[in-house]
Amino acid sequence: MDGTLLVSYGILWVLVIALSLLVFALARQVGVLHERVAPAGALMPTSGPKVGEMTDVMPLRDLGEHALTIGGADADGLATLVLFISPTCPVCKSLVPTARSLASHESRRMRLVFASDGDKTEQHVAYVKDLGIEDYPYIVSQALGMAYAVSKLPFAVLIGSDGALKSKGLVNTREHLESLLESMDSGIASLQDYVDQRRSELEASIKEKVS
Amino acid sequence: MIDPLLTKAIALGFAVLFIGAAWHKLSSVGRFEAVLSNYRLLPPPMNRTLALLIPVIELLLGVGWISGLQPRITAIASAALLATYALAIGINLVRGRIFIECGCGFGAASDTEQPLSFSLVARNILLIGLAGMTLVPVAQRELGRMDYVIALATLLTAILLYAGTGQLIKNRAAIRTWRDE
Repeated sequence: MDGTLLVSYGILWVLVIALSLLVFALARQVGVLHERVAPAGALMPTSGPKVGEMTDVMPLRDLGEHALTIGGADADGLATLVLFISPTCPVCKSLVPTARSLASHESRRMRLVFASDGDKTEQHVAYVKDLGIEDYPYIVSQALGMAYAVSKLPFAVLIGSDGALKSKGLVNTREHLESLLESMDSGIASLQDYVDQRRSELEASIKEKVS
Repeated sequence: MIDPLLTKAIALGFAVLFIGAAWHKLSSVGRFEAVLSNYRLLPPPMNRTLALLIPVIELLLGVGWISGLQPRITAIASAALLATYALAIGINLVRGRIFIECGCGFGAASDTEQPLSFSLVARNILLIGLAGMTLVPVAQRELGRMDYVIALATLLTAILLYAGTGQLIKNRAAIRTWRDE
């Protein structure tokens, strides 16, 4: 091959690889940026099962090896609040006492279940002891988290006594947790749904007045 | 007739792809089993077996590509495996279970979930086409040192572009979950 051609060929390869690297880095940055700016709050993700859908019955075991089922209609007529937490999540620690107090308030119609994932059983045992939640079932199951598309913690899922998914979302405060119960009582999945509903009602009444 | 360099580059690419995918799946069999059960295609007891079987098959295919033994069988088996994945993804897309994890990523893009999308089916079809290309008769030519340099450069570029594409597909899925509400 001619000398100039060979050099230009080599340079082109270097440029092609550099450009590919650049494209990959750019795509990665967009992805990371997207994760960072994701809205915080009682966020209801659109992924995972939809509110109102029937949940699947999942036979599971808690840390003490007691069998229990998550999902499906409850024999005792209680709703189930599943709170996904993890020893590595700082917000979870502050939310656990809140969840307990809420659960004891609502104990007549709701049971509280903690869920987490990871292989280190002794870490979970220590975590449960540290938080003082030995009285509540604590499930370590990757399948459970994946079934409800849990991607960020602390995440709560509220399953009605009839087995339908009542509400779910990323929870950070007592208000967020209570909003899940509120959503079950009112039958409105989110504030956005409520606003949409109100807006259409308003628009209808305006139209009526105009005509 | 195609140049042997082209076949060589494709073979190297598939070797990296399959060995990487197998290694990723074997390093977290439990997770892959959960992914499989989310696909809801098989009776649950089979998922455990399959969660081990699939990475082993992928590993064998990877070794097949790199060693160059039985190139026809390797190419056809790879195409069949990729077609099975595309079918499994397609079935769940039609069912509307788009939120489940793909379980198909590896490398940098694999630590977070990759939801299903038609782009993934398209990607698999493209890969099947590449595997099919190796079945085309190859021209007789001795590969020199320069050829291997080019093959490695091609491989590097392909890996980067593949990872970039995977990331872009993932970004698009993430952006879509925002817009949908």
